[in-house]
This record gives sequence, structure tokens and C-alpha cells, in this order.
Amino acid sequence: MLETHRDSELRLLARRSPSGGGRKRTARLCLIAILSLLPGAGMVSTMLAQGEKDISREYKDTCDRLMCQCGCNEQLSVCAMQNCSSATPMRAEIRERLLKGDSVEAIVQSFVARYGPKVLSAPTMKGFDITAWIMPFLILCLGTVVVVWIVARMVRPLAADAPPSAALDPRIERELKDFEEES
Amino acid sequence: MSEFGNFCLLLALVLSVYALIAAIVGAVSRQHRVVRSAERAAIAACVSITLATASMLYLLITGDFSVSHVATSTNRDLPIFYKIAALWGAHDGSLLLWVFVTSIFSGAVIYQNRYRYRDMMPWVVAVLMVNLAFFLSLNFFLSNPFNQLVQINADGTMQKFLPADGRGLNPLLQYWAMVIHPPILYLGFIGFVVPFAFAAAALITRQLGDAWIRTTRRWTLLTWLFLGVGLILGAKWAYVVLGWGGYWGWDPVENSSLMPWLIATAFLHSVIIQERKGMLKVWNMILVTLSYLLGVFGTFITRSGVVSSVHTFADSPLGTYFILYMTLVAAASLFLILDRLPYLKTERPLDSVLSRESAFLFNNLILVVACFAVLWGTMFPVLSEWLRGAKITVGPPFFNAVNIPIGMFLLFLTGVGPLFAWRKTSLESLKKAFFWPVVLSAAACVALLAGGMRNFYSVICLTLCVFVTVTIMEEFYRATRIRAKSNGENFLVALVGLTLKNKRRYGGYVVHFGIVLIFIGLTGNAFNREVDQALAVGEEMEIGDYTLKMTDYKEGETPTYLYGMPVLEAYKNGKLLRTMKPEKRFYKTAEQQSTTEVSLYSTPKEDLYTVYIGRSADNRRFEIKAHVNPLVWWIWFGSAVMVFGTFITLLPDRKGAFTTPRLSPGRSAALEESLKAR
Repeated sequence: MLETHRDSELRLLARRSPSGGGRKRTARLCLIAILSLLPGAGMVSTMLAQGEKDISREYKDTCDRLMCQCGCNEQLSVCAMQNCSSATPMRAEIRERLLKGDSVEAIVQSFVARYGPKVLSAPTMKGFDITAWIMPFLILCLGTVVVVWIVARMVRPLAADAPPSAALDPRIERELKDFEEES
Repeated sequence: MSEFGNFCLLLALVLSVYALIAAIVGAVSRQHRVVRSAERAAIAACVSITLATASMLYLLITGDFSVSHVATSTNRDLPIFYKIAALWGAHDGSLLLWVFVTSIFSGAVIYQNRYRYRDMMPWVVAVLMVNLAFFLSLNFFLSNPFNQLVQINADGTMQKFLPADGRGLNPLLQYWAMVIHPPILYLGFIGFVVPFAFAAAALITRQLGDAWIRTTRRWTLLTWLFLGVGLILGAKWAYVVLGWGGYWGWDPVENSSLMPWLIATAFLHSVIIQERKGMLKVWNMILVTLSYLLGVFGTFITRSGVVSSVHTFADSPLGTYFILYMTLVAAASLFLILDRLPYLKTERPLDSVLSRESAFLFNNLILVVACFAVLWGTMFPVLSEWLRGAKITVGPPFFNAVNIPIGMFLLFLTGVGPLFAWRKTSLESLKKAFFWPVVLSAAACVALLAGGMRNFYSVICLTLCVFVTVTIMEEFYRATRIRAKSNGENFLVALVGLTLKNKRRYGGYVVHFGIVLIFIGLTGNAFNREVDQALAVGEEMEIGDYTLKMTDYKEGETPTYLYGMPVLEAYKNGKLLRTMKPEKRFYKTAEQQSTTEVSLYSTPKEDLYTVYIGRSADNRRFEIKAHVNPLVWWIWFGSAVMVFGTFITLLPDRKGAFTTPRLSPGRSAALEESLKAR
């Protein structure tokens, strides 16, 4: 069996790698470093907490799920037309109903009842529309099966994987190193 | 001048058809002189189209409003910079630009290979000319930018019509990124014709070794780069000009640019396996054909009016011709691939399932599935209307729901790929390779959760970003350390030396790092906030840590538009950051279209993004929409890193490497003589 470049490279590295204790110490240091390098996590979570106090998140969700009906072909959250004949009253109604305590789903369904399914910004999970959601993942599953089948078919028979003799090892290692550097 | 431009277009069409026929005749009859004639005709077509484009630019700059394209896309007050950009500001002119770029690419390829690949080149010329002749026919017969305006008199006679002024360029296009975005995107779309032409020629001549791949690798990479830069510029334009606070809306036209980019990314990866192992030959043929067809599909989407989009040109009669052309190209390619299957056999088997080759195969699968998901979502409304008569919308919620998990998987594979060795990886070495990436990404995950982040995809994405970054750093660190030790160099010199010696590999890692940074930027999208409020002068509004105080309101006029501009002072924790001046413009065109000019305070942490919507209903207040968009800066920075990495991979190799033997003019003449003698 041919030893790969990575194996030889790792063995080279292993000769010079720090002791087990040193490695653990380095791991701890890296852990501390990465924890301190992620202030964004705190920042983002603070923002999340602030967002939950008001209706802004639900308002945005609702506006994202609905299309403006003025003909701009944009989501309600995107239509930037001032005093838009469709977006402005729809947004006002959404804000009012969210403040009253209506759920996002109830508001969305009331707009569907008024304008039909074209008001939704994504296909529903019913009837023919469900194919929109299923197909990409179906293709992913089928593709995975095909790739696994191809890989299994292309893999060299095990008999060919005999380990190399000790005498050949340094030469193979050198050639593999050259091969890797060439790439 | 319009007659001259029209004549040049017609001449180019005739020359390209001649070049097509002569190339095929020359190749079949092996008459080298005829092939040379075809090549010269193709270059003459390129010159002719250049002259047509130059005459259109002259008409635009001098403002000859008797020409319909000039009248519909410029006006007298338009600055010269935008008059030039008006070439692609409307459908007819943009098709002329398309034809111009196509002809330049074709001419460059023919000139570059005038002494190389003499068996393949006639067929390369033929394919390039089929492509050019198709677009030229559309441009000349159906969408001619040199058409003149006429008015029909009461007695039925027609006479030339010269309006006093033009309608002007669409105000949305009057932004620097939008001026360079279409040409760069076109370079990306059109460039795929070159690898496709070589692939087709290789199939026809049965020369299915690595030659066509080696010669088109840089073309593909450059095309991929152009398309990527075009996508980023489009995103920047959407962010800064459209004023809705986002940069990617999964619009059908945006999607049609993303699809060939995804397939080309798959091709750039799988082609490495063909070069190294002689595997995936059929797959590469399919990918290169798909890249080209998706480029044509992109312009079909933009020009046919089959889907609604802010970017599409008005409905045009071109759709049917595009469908016919794409069908013929797909059928011909499929026939050639099937017919040449015996020549496309894998040369060597795979050594192990645990190998980088396998990782590349899965990477290809994910990229192709991502492309399919985008295509499916883009065309589903058309399919739904066709099958059920019910038009539905497939918008961002669908694309995000489907593509985010696929993107996460792709990011994971970007990290995993380098951890596998070529040919075979032992479980022991895998354990060692995975140690640091897993430890550090797990630590990052814990840090994010401890910091209170609960958005599932954001946590996963940032964790994977750390994972991929560590694998990339590990790759650089290990190899640099070995090189530094063996050559006695310091670490930095060894790092530069290593990168320059293995430009393709380490440039690729830099591109991957750029992608990681872009993903970090995309993650911020989950935490965007916005506040919409009407302010009077002296009033304040709050968003996050920021306070916006309106201190003034200005109105004014330029030769092309009127504007209103609230002046806002942005404070953070009581400290003045900057004065922000979002604008609303009303253009003095026939449609009196309005645009928003965003005012932005951008930092790596977040963007404070303000838009002036307009006066409130009582006319005493000014409606301001403010957004806080975290981490967007990283998208632009990551894109720059990606471009830098691509440039590294494009740097010339050592003399002689990756080039095919080039015949000297003397040898070429001798060869021509011997071919003539046959």
C-alpha cells in the first residue's frame, strides 16, 4: 500500500511536535484565544434579546412572508416605494394586529384569504407546491446515492493495496513529496 | 454613422457565417489554407463588430436621438460617463455589448492559438462562430441598436423622426458599480464559450487528453472570476442603490448569474481530478457544457421576459430563439459525449473512499445540487403556471430555506477536503488532521452558545467558518514549517515561497478563506434590525446602540435630478460618529423616476444604514428608515480576498509548465507547406 503524502508529512511533523503536556497547554491557550476573539457572539445575542422585547422581529417575519401587491414583485419588507398603494396599508395593518396580539400565522392567513396564494413569498407545503420544497432535497439524496455508488465502483480492488516494503518506503516518501510540491 | 454601424454588424454576420463554414470545410477536407481563411474571417468579424460598437458609442456621446437606442437610453444632460454606460442601458445596446465581448474573446482565442492545436482549432473556430453568428443574428435582425426612429404621417408615408431630447438612462443604473457590473458579468457569462468550444473540439477530434483542459484552465478561472466579481458588484449595487437594506434578493436574474458560477466552481474542482488521475472525463464535459448553456440561459432569462424581475428588459421576441438554440446545443453536446464515451474512460481507479478525490466528488455534487435548487426555484413559478394555470411566487424564504443547509454542507466540505490526502488517507492521519479543526471549532461553538446566540444556522455557520479557517491555516502552517526547516528560510519567506511554488493549491486556499469571510458576513443577516420613523428637524430616533438626530433638511437641483436630503447626526453612546445624508432623487426624465441614495456608516462589526423614504403624509416630517446590519463589511472584504486568491492562482507558472509546445513561425510555415502537399 502506498503511503500518502499526508501520512509522511504528519510523521515528519510528529517528530518535531511538542510533548503531550505541551500540546494540551497549547490547546487550552487556543481555546482561551478563540473565546476572547468572539465578542461578536455576545454582541449578536444582546441584539437578539433587545429584539424580543418589541414586535420588530414578528413584524419583519410577517413582511418577509408576504409580497407587495403593487406589481413591484418585491416582498413587503423590500418594496421601497413611498406611499405605495399596497405596501403602506398592508404594513400598517400588520403592525396594528401584531400590537393587538395576533400571531404571525393568523395575519399571513388573513392576507392569503384576501389576495390568494400569490401574496405569499414562498410556495405552501400543500398539493403541487410541495414539490418545490421536496425536489432539491430529493435530487441531493439521489445524487448522494449515485456518488457513493460511483466511488464504490471506482475504488481499486483491495488486493492491489498491499503495503509497500520497508526498503521502498523512503523512496516513495520522497517521490510523493515531490509530487505534492509539483501540484 | 448609424448606417455605418449597421453595415459593420451585417458584415460581421456574413464573416462569421463564412468563418463557420470555412472552418468546417477546412477541418473535414484537411485544407489548412481554408482553415487559415476561416480564422482570418473570424478576426475580421471581430474588427467589424468593434467598429460597430465604436460607432454606437459615437452616436451615444454625440446624442444622435434619431437612433432609437440613443433616444431611449440617454438625454442631453447625462454626464459622458453614463452616456458610455448607456451602451448597455437598454436591450438592443446590451446585446451589442454581448456580441462585442463574444467577438473579442473569439478573436483572442484564435490569435492565441494560431500555432497550437492545429487539429482542434478549426472546430474551436466553428463552435465560436456558431455562438457569434447566433447572437449577431439576434442583434441584427431582431434587436438592432442602429434602428432609426420614424414617424408615420397621416398619408401613411414615413419620415425620420428626431426628438428634441432622449428619455435618459434609467436612474437606477446611474451608479458606479452598475456601470461596471454588466460588462464584468458579460465577461463572465460569455467567457464560458471558450472552454466549451475546446471541449466540443476535443470531442469531435477525439483528442480527449488533458490538452483542452490545460489550455482552457486560465480562461475558465478568469471567467469564473469575472462572474464572481460581477455578482459581488451587483450585490453592492443592490445594497447601496435599491435602499431595502439587503444585498441579495434571490431575483431570477441574480439567480441566473449565480447558476453558471456554481457549475464553473464545480468544474474548477473536478478538472483537477482529471488532470491528476484521468478521472471524471465525462463529468467534466457535462459541467463545461452546462456552464456555457447556463450562461446563455442567464441572458435568456434577462431578455425573454419569461420571469418577472427588476433587472429584466421588457418582453422581447427573442425567447423562442434562445430556447431553440439551447436545445440544439444541448442535443449536439449530448450526442457527442455519448458517441465518444469509449474515449472518455477513466484511466486510473480510485485508491480509497477516504481520499481527497472522494471529497471533491461530494463537493461537485453539492455545487450541482445548489445550482439545481436555484434553477428549480427560479423556474417553478413558470412551471406552476404552465401545469396548473396558477402563478405563485418563489421568493427569498424558499431560497434561504433550501440553500442555507446546502451552503452549510458545502462550507463543511471546503474544510474537510484539505484534511484528506490525495489517493488515500489512513484513519490515524485523519484523526490527527481533524484534531485542531474540531477542537477549535467546538470551542467556537461553545463560545457562541455561551454568548447567548441561539440562531441555529448562525451557530452552525460560524462554527464551520472556524473549522474551515483552522484547516486552511493548518495547511499553510505545516507546509511552511517544513519548507522553512528544510531550506533554512524564515517563516514569512517560506510562506511566500511556498505559495508561489504551489500557486494553484495555496491560491485556492486563499479563495476558500475569502469564501469563509463571505459566509461570516452572510451570517449577520439573521440579526438585521430596522426602524422606520418620521422625524422633524431636531427630533431623534433610536436603533440598537445608535441615536439618529435630524439637524437639517436640504433640497436642491442638479442638471439631471431634484433631491431632498435630511441631515442626520449619528451618535453611539453619546459620541458623534458621523453626519449621514441619505437622499431621495427625482430624475427629470419622462417617467420622473425616483431613487434612494443610501447613507452608510460601515464597520467590520456592523453597518448603520439610513434611507430617506420621503415626506410624511402631513408634509412636516421626513420618513427615515434605519437599519443595523451586522457583519456586512466582511462580505466585501471576503470578496476582495477571494479575488486576491484567484490572482495568485492565475500568476504565470514556471516557464514551460502548463503550456503546450508552440511552433515557431518557421516551423509553422513548413508544416503548412507539408499540409498543402497532402
